Amino acid sequence: MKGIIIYILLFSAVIIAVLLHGAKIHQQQDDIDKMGVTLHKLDSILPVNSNISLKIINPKGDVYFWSRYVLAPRFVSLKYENNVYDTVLTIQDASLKDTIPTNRKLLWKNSDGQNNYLLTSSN
Amino acid sequence: MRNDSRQILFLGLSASCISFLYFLSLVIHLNFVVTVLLTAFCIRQLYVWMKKGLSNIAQEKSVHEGWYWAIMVIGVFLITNRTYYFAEKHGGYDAYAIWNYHAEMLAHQYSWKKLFLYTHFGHPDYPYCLPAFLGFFFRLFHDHYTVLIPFAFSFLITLCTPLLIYTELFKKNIVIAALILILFATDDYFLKQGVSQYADTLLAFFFLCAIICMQHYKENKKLIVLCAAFLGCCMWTKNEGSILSVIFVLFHARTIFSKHNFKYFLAGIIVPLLIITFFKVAYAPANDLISNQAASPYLKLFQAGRYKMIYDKLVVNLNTLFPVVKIGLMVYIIFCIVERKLPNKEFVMLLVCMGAYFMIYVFTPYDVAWHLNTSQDRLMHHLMPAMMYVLGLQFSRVQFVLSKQQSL
Repeated sequence: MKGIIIYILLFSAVIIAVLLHGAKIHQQQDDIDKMGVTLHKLDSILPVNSNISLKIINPKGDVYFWSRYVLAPRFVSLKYENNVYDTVLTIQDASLKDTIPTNRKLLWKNSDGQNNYLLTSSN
Repeated sequence: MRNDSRQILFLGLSASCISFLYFLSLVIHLNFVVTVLLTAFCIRQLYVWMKKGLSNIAQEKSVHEGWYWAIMVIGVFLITNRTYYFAEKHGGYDAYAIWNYHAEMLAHQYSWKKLFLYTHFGHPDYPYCLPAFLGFFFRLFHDHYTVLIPFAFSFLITLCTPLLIYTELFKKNIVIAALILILFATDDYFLKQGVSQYADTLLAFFFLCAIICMQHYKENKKLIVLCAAFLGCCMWTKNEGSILSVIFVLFHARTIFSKHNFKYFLAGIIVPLLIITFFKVAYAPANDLISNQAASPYLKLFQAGRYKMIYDKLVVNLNTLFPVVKIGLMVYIIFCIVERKLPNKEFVMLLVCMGAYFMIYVFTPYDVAWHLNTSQDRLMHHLMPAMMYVLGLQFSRVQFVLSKQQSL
């Protein structure tokens, strides 16, 4: 198959498009990136094969999908009642007062300005 | 079939080959280095098979080779220059909620099965063609470039789709081929959907490949093998791909199930079909559209309001997102009436696919308006490249009709 020209054309186009796209997004920081910057600080605490529960209180944005995307490959469950997974990440509106149940221990806390993030486990 | 068409078909098949092999490697816990070597070997074998097996196909070359490359370069330039502008950093909603997220999970040997723990919002029943392909490269690059890899692949498919139509139509009618390429290159909806990093354009591309292979099967029976493999790829890309494949097989049953052709079809479909069946039986939960059905879904068949909503949304989508297809459809129907002939079989097949898609909305357990608003345009997008190709084939005859009239 003498199809080298079509390959050169296709892959040149892909490289140029990727460079243009890369230059466009290089300085961009959307809500997912903001959450990513904050939650990547958890990397040392949460092993990549861990399972956690997610509790959402009046959040700003589509935080469930963002957080599981950012925390992948960790499993993020929306079930947090009955201690399905002992470690619970609570995401709540930054303007609200932090809510930590009395029987739980705060492991980590952070904020990206729009949401607060609290990682807790049972005592 | 032009040599360039075969190169594009090879690229599509290689992508799905990577996806299938990577998924199997996850299932059997194969070492990643071995997987990479095995994948490289299989792609090389595929290349050799296509080179030798399809070598007897007449090399379609036009007297307008200079124009062929000039128009193609303009088309590629336009698409490249316009597409990146529409792309979002993390793709559209479904990209980070489903496709790229699945890819992130599949990139890790120990976590990919956790996808099946999701009972809500996980869509673990969605096939893995796109996620497994991306997951393979995420793993190859050690989780670097996870934003650029999905964009690069979605852009490649967005580029290959109109180019395949162009290379196929050029010999038949240079004007129609060039017009279709430029229409694609200036179609904001197609380009935006293409780089949304969803699986819809990939499905549209595979379905187009299957139709093109079937168009040429008389040149070489091995194109039936490729056609069947592409139908398998459709099923491995999205659940809707199974609907398209079944309708395709029904419409081409005489060709496929004939004594001389069936073994070729079986050779192409057997491996993808086995892998998809294994995935569906061993891992995937029931699809939410089926598992959430009420006790008597058939009662929905008699709710006229549903049909009206579907039709209204179809008209809105045709007018706003697919105006070229709408005009093409109308012109072709007038063409058929004037010539007093039945529409082309492929054209009818695409209309039946559209009809089958719309039955999803009749039976949907969700709010019909919400379901239509979130997906009908994407389902139409699955069929749009194939429809443009079929219409292009039909309109290519205009040249022939005119020259015949001139000779009279």
